[in-house]
Amino acid sequence: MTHTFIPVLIMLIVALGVGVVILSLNRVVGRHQRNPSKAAPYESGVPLLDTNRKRVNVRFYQIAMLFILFDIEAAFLYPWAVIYRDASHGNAGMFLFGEMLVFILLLGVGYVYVWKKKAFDWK
Amino acid sequence: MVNPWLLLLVPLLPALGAAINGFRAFWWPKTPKNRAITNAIAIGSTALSALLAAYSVLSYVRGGTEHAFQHVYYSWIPAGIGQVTGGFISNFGIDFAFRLDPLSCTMLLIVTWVGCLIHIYATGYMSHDTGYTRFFTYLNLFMFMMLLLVLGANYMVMFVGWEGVGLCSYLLIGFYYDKNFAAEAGKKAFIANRVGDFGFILGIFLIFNTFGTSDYGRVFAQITAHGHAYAGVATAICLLLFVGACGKSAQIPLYVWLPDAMAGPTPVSALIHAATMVTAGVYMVVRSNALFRLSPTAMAVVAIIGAVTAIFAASIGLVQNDIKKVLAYSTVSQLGFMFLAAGVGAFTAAIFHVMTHAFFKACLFLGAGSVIHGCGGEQDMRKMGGLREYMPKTHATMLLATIAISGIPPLAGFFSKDEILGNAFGYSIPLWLIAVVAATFTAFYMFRLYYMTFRGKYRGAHVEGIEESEPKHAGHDLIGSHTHLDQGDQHSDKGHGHHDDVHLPHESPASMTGVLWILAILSVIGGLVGFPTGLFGGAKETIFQRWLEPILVPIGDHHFHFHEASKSTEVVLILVSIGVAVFGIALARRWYFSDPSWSTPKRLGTNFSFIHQVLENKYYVDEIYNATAIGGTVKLARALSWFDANILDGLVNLVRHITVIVLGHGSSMFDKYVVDGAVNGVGAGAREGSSALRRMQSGFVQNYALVMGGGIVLLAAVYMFTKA
Amino acid sequence: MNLTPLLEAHWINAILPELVLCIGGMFLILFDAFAPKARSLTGPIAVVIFILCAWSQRFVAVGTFFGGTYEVGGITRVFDITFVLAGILCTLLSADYLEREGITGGEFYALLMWGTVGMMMMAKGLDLLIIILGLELLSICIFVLLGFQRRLPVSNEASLKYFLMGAFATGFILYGTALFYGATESTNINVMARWFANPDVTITPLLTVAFVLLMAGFGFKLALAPFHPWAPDVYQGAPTPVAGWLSVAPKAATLIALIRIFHAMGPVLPQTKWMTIVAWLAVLSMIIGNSVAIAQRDLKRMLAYSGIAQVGYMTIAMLTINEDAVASIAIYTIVYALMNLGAFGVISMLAKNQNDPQTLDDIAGLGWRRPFHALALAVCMFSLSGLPPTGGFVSKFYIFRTAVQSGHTGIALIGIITSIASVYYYLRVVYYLYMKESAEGQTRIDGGIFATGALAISIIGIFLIGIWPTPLFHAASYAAHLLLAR
Repeated sequence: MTHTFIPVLIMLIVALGVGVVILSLNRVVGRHQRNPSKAAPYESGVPLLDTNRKRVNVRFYQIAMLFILFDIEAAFLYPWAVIYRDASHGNAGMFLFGEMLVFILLLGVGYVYVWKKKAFDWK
Repeated sequence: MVNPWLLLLVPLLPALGAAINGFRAFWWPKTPKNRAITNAIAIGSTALSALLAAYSVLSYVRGGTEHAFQHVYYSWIPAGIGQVTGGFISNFGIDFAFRLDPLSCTMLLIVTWVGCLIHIYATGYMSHDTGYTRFFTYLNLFMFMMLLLVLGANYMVMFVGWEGVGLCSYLLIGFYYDKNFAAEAGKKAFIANRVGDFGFILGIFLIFNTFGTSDYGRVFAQITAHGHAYAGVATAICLLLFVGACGKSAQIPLYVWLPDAMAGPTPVSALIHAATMVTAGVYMVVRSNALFRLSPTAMAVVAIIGAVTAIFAASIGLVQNDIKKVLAYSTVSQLGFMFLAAGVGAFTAAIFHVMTHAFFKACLFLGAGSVIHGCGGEQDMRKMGGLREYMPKTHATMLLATIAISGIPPLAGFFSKDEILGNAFGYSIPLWLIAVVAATFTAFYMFRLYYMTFRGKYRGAHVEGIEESEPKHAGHDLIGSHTHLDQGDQHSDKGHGHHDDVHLPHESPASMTGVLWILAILSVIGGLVGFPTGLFGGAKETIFQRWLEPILVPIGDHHFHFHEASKSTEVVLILVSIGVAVFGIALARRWYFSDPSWSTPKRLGTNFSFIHQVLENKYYVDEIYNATAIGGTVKLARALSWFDANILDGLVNLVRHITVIVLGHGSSMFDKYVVDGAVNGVGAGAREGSSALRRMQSGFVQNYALVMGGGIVLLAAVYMFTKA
Repeated sequence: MNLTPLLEAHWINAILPELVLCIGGMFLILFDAFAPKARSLTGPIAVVIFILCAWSQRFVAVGTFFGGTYEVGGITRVFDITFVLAGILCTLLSADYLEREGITGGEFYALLMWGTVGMMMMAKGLDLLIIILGLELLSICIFVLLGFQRRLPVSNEASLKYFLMGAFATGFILYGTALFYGATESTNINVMARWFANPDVTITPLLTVAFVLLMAGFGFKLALAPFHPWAPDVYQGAPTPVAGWLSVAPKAATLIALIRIFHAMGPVLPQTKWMTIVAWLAVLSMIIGNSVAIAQRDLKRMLAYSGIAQVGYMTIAMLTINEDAVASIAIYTIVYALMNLGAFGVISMLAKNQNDPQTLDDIAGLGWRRPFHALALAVCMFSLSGLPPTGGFVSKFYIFRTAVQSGHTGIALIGIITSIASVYYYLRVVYYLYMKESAEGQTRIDGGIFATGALAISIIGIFLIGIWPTPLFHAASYAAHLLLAR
């Protein structure tokens, strides 16, 4: 029975091996030179004007997250729109329509909620 | 016919009393409560319950005692799916059912009536106490649980009562919780009882597994039907049950809690730790007599443990100076006698002794309570003496009870003890010898107590040369203490209170002495039901034996036979047991009464100081237990906790370091800055603010993740190295 | 394209309780957003919604829905009641707790409701993916609920720990599911059951790996040792009512999901050692939980370890899936919800800086200061330790009886031994309540009417089940019978 584990073991070894090999290859093959440009955040980009350890207003994140959240709406609407016409030939039309209605309603509730909670206000 | 609903009221009334008084005591802990109402509820409920119990027993007896009366109130834990679908598991359920048979009738009457008397007594004894209503709440609750234990028709209902009385005992021992040793004693009682309960519940499970039921009737019917087919498993069951009995009834090696339990108020010592609860183990063994009779091994174990406990505790009792301690060890010793009786097959004698012991030991404890009450909380017998003049009623009743326990005919203790000795003689001469020596000790230490307390001159509270006898355990000034947290009950000093200045002892109120008289009279005449009529040409079996005969079910074709001996043997045995009692009494009189300076015992104490030390320190059993079992457990828990804190995390860290080395610095950087950074950022503040306990676990998430990973490895290992 | 088979008749009745909670949650956040001044009403409204949800059980249609992925039956009703009960108790406790801590909000209750929906999905899911979906819905709500006291470092710590570890555990479950899918070619439990029932089926190592991964993931959710280390930290940091809820409801949901999976695997279990693994988890949990709990002085940590042990007991019954096992687990979870939430409830009333640990010293002498609350805590402790005549005794007895009947005597014995040892630390709480004098600067107990009501429900429930468990036994046994009769 135990011998049937051998494939698993081999897989484990290979996975470990790949990780170790890649990391050590990097060290062995690559040349290690320390110079200021290496330490720069963008090695071949525009020089920094300021430190990158600045505090960013938390509102940025909030807005960004809300954006992603409502962006999903569009991401779901596209595939739905693509199949809706085909599907509505059968008897699933109302069902699909209802599904999307519920989806939008849910997002609408969330929208109203963040609105009333003044999450969009930039104080 | 017995009315099952009236029977149900017997335990329910005290429960109701406990509920009402408990509500009053705990809901308004600080407001004064009317003691008359407390009394009416507590005593009213127990008295009514006692009357109903008597009525139920009478109606049961009228219907004939051949068959047990059993009533199923409802199915408590149904028999699983079997009942629902008519399927595969039959009669595995547990009914909430009561059973009346001669055994439970006897116990029922003892518990309700002695309990009722002690309730009345306690109104006097506790009159100065601040936790008055709380006390009666616990006492009523105890009555309820004890009645469940006695009335239950199966082992599970008995177990409910069994746990319940343990709990009440714990609460009542720790009643003066503001005294540290009382709380400690409560804890000790609790631990010892848990060890016993462990055996008991395993025994019940084994009964379940073997017989498919825990109902007494069905278990015994199967034993009657299949006889010795169960002999093997019966030994295991009986030994497990007996472990439970050892815990509850304070037998070696679990007896240590009972002497400490004297930290509770004296009525509690009388009711719970002498008359009723501690005899539950005996009741259980006698109840299971069919099982025990299947296993001679278990019977022998019971007999030997009983005999050894009897002499062991009696020998400690010889040198104790605390009046309640003497009685406590005496109780342990007498319980040993009961188990000896059960072990040698004299089940009726065991219950007979339970009954007579309930009378005289309750009387003794209550008398001791009266003495303590009268002496302003003093418990050291060396500071008493001459109380006969100050408390004549207490003196008279206690003298009667002392004679009864010493085994002088025709008082109660003589008949029951003689029956036990006679049966032990028929079983094994060495056990009989041990029991006879223990009986001698009993007579000696009881009369030593009597002479030290009631005779001679009053020595007063300030006796030179006597340190606080046992500062850790003595109950000094417990009664007069006003420092309880619940100051709720009004303090009514009726003129016999406890003043700080030295005062002369005084007699206790009528509520106490009245109860003492009733119990004293019972100690005198209670033994007559066991009068050996056979000796005088009457029936071979005593009245009590005939009464209890229905519970001794036949095993297969074998009917139970009472032990029989020739008349001459019996006469000799009776003479021996009277002789040793008289010898013990005479010795006590000579050492402690005729010679007021007690020079002989003092000389013996110095000449044989080693033995004296050992006895005075109770064979150092407490110390040994503390060093081994208790210390060991605590150390183990600490070790495990330490293991959880250090080794486990250490291993995790080790694994992490190895991983880091293997995977190189890249992942280590990630580990350090990304994961640790995120977690430590929030964790750091938390760790600072909280206690050192947080070090129990390191608090690093990745460590936990590694523990989980380790867990999976463990599972794989389990899989590889175990058999299906 | 024809989608109608997805929608059986009465499908809306099948998910009525879920719908009630979903809509109720949305109503609550909107209520909170539109009427911030009436925020303190959100708690009572939440209770009403939970009661509505329980009432809607009357109209629930029984059967299999949504293309065989969702099964509603007697057992799911029993578990629904457990979830709703836990929800109501947690809401009642939180109503006062949040008010005191100044963090009242409709979102809290909404998250509680949606989490409950997730649990209902786990209980009813007949497809591993539905179960995982429910689990994730539940987990997301838990993350936020744990960190609800966002100004407290401990609360954030708890949330983040649970999040990281929970994600880790979900990964295991998903991987295990994927492997099962690879072997059985379906994630549907009924299809898997048919596959396992095939007599020619061979157990490949792949399946064992899948099982181990699944058990690791679910073991995390159950806080089974050795997947337990998160529990004490998280419970300690979480808002106390949430900790109580977390220690009860998600475990119940995970258990019923596991019951379904184990039942599907039933035919092959005798030829594997999978149940040996589960048995080891149970034994380890009972030993580690009960022994480490003895060393705790922090009440929430003690209850965390006690919870680890309690799950160990429940796992014993899972070793053989039969009617009694399912029924005993169902009853145990209900009783556990009552007693554990009751215990956490009393702790939640300790009015002190929630960043500090709530230790035994805080409840010293409580019996004289707040008799009712002390009584509630004492009753819960008695029940947790399994002393009769509480519900804890009845349910624990049923579990051990089931285990013994199924032939797991040795493990039941370990359970009995450890549970007797556990009495020590449970009763130590009672000892502190009644036999210790309260220290200087004693901690105030701050319990309003709602929280006190929750405690009353706990006490009554514990004694009712302890003394008169018969109807519950019949209901649970019958439901279990129907579940396994397929």
